Amino acid sequence: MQMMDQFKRSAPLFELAFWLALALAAFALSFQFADEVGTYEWGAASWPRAVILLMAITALIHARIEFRKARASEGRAANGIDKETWFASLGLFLIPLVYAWLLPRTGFYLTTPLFLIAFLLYVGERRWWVIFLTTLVIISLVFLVFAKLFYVALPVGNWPVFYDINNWLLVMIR
Amino acid sequence: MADFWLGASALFTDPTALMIFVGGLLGGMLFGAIPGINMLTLGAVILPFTAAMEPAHAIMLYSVIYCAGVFGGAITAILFNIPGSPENAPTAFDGYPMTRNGEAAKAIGAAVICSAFGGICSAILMMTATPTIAGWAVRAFGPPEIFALICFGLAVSASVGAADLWKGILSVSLGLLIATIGTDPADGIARYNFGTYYLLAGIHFIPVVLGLFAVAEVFTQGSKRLADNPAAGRVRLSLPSFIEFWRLKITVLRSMVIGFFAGILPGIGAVLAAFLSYNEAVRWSPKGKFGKGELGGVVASETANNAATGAAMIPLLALGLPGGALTAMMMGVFQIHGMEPGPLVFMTSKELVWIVFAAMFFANVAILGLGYLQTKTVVHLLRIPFHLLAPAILLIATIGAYALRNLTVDIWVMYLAGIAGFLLRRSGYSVAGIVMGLILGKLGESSFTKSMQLLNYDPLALFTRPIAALLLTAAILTLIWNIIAASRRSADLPEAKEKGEP
Repeated sequence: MQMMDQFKRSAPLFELAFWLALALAAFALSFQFADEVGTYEWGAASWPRAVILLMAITALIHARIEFRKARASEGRAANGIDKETWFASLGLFLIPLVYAWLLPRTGFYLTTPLFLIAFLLYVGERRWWVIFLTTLVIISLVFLVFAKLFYVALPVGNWPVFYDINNWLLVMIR
Repeated sequence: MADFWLGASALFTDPTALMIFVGGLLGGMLFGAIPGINMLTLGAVILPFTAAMEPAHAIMLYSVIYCAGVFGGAITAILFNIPGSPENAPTAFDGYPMTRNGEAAKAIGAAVICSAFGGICSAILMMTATPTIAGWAVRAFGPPEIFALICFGLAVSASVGAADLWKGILSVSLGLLIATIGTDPADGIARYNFGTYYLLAGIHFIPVVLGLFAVAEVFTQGSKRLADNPAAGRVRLSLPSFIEFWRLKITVLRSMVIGFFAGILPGIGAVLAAFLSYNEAVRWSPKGKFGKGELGGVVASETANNAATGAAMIPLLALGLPGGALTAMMMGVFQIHGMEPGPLVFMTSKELVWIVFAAMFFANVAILGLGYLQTKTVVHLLRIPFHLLAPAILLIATIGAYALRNLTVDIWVMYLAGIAGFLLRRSGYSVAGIVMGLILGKLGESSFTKSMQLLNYDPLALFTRPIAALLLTAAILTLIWNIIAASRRSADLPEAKEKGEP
């Protein structure tokens, strides 16, 4: 708990580190195109560098103000994201990211039902019939509207077996 | 007037246009009223699919969603203290206490009438003012003026939506930095593409918008797990009495004027209009029970935010500058169809402009009738727990991002933007600011580059052009004013501590 409070109080420092790291990385990368010759005299790097400068100066001013605020509110409970929310959010992020990774490999039509079931289970739904019905309704509507009506070309996977199954499903839907 | 009837007949005689109008109206009201998602979610999700529509229909759809969505968000703000969109936030200040006082029906009735009234008046003003502004803008606005206007828009948008001014500027600068990915506007030199050709065309704003709004909202609601999803209250539509309204006539008129003029300013939109109007209502009625269930609070907020919808179309259509997040998406629709919003639209696409004007006028008229129906139906929809809606939203957003260019990288961009949006919103940054920076960044750099080539690389020469000088001065003054206000607030902290104030 004490560690979490310390973490929350260090939030301005983390924010400053994030913005400065971003600005520094963008500035370092700008040298890759700074010397390119074009019709514009100030070059392609001038605008991004102006934005980077604005970002860095603002981050420093903001950090100074936040540190002052932190000192002024010392002893009081710090606001921020609590530990439970962090862990809940990590799972929420992970499921769609895994889904995004699987989509081009195992295809939309096979992966989507699994994604829906996993997401529903994760957000606390335990009634199997609710999971089944929700998945069925969403899939039916999405497949009907996007695959059959709008003919949207969705990924069919590039792993051999999955590619075949997805194509077979697509033919069935259409 | 003849142009208006031209637009109205184009809307009502074309079955496709009419279907899109009704769909946008119902969709806007529905999405505006469902907690956790809003008209921006709907706008973001359908954005890729507008490519298949006629440009006039696509823009009209967004304008109708805008009007209906701003109204729809008031219902959940009043019933559950959950504003459907940021512009409905001040509605909740007094609307929700009215619900707790057993006056939900009166609050919703006032919201229906004021939204429709504000919207209709704003649509009439918009029809009168926009062509004049557009005609003048054709002659007066070159690259230096456009750059100056973008500077002003960015300066104003930095001060709205974030927890403080500095976070607002950081949000806008992040958007500006993302906008530099791809190629530079002058010579097409590759920037920040990491050697991959996928990034040469830049980061497309659609996956970013989908991520920052739709996905981030699902993450936000999902993280709360909706353990204490509030049960829907009983809703009836009993309008406030004529005497009650007559007492609030000044509030209504003042809010309409504030809403209209705040809506015109690019980068502000309806959000500031609603807040300003609410603040003015409080300032002019010191004896009111504001914050405890004052009808004037709901009236002020709802009149202003709907009055801003028509006004927000003026900078978009006349100058090519979005006034808020949804109008920024409209700008995206223009770009999808290879069009550039701005003064020339009035000459090259007159029918498009007037079908949009007519649609917005009739959408506001329809709100009066549909407001009654919506209160009857939306309560039942609100009984669907959000965790059952969330996967459907994610799925549609995924399809929307992928269908844009058939690239998986857009899905990744969307989910990463969603995670970033979730974290940045929780930390008090403005996702609307990021989107504004991203969209205006490309336009800003392009106009700055052209301006410098035109003015022999002398930035001070921008001040020799009256309009550019005026706008740049306004931008600088806006920033200085906000910095002084922010400094005063932070200076008050140590004093408060010394006095032992919390």
